[in-house]
Amino acid sequence: MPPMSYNPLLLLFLAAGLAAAPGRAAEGETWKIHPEDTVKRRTSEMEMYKCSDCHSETADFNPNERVLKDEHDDKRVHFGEEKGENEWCFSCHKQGNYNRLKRKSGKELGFNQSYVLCGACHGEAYRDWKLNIHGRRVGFWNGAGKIASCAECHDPHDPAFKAMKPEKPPAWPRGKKKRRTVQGNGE
Amino acid sequence: MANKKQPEKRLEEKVRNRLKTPVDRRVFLKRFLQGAALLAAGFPAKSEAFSWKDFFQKHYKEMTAEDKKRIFARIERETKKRLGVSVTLKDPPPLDGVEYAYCLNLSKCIGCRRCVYACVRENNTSRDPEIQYIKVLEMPKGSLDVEEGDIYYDAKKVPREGKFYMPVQCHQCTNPPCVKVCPVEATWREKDGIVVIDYDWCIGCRYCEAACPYEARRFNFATPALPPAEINPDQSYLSNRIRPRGVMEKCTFCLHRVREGRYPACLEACPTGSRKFGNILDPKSEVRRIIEEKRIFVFKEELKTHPRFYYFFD
Repeated sequence: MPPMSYNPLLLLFLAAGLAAAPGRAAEGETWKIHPEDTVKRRTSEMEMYKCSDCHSETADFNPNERVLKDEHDDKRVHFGEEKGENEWCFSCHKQGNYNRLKRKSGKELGFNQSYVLCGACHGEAYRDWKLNIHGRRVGFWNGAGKIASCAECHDPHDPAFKAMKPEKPPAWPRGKKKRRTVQGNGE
Repeated sequence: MANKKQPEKRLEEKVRNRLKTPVDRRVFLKRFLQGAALLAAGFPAKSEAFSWKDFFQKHYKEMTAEDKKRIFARIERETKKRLGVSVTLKDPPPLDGVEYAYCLNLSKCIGCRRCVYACVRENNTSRDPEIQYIKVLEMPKGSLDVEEGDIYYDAKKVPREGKFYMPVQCHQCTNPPCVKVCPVEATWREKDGIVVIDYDWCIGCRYCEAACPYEARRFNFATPALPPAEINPDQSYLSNRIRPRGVMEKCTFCLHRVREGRYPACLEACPTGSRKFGNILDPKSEVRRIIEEKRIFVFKEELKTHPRFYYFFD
């Protein structure tokens, strides 16, 4: 029996273990419900992507927190100044490379992997999203599906899910006298 | 005039007189043949020439593959003739090792009713009189008492303050009361858990509608009226083909979709992702995880219908 450190079987196990360890590449793969699932891309939905079309990479903007007045003033950061919290644009956007987001550590992230950034703070929702308990997945329950990323439903600059107008109520049963419903109508 | 004042008495007299007079054989034969001729003439081919085979169509469970082919072709022809739309009738068999479960997140549902109308479009239900399989109850927060619920809510924006929304549709119970009461066995529970109806066997007695505690069954009081442009042509015999008048129908978890691996139409329409669907027998499916780990509740649990529809809070 050769010594343990040179045992080819052990080396094989080690190699397999390293490959399966969570890393940036694996983030997008191993958690999927089905191996052929795709997360819908954000870059095709964003109006002003690519940011570098306007902002050159060498531009360094004022890194101090403030309310923006001229451009991008419609972006209310979700930990807004009204709440007294301390996140603002450059908490998530990368200064110097505006086509990218950044994590707290400074590591860059593409807009199509923005769910990793959301998940860094919203861990429970991220865990549930990966398991398809939170969020939307359409397609096949036993096959490939398309998963909506966080930003598709929650605008990162104003994340609360918006109220919407409901569809028509069902027709009042024929022959039944119309009365005020239990909860009232029309508001 | 006594006769004018008492029309019933006059009728009675007339009948009695008729019964007393003996019938001449000749007269009898003449009248009989005239009647028979009228009857025969009175069967104009409304859709197809009368066929004894179709009149005695078997129950779905007894149909052979040949029968199914013939019957589906007939239905497709009739739909084309009546509505001018070409449809394809399929018959997907249940998948092995699969029992469907549906989970609905009451913390996320906003009561927008997109599921209701997606279902109507997918399942070719009647628009007039309106049939909708899904009822969305608007309930006040703090109580699960459905007496406080309202399905006719009409708001400018949902969700409304202090309310939560609970959509109800057929729960595909494992112990279904509707199946128990059907006098002709026109409805039964399939291997994969879906409770189905053979529309051509149903006699329309509506016992199942009375028995269902979730008010999930719908009856076709009139021939379903739906605009031909909105007909979904991918149909199946047991789920979304166009029903005749006088039969029951209900949600089938979009049998024609789920047996091919797709999601039901209501799930795909939901904008908040409150609806979750999958195979409860698969330990890795999301529905299994939700049932095992989330705060779920079963609607009208005390009735022991053991439904396959689970509501949960997140």
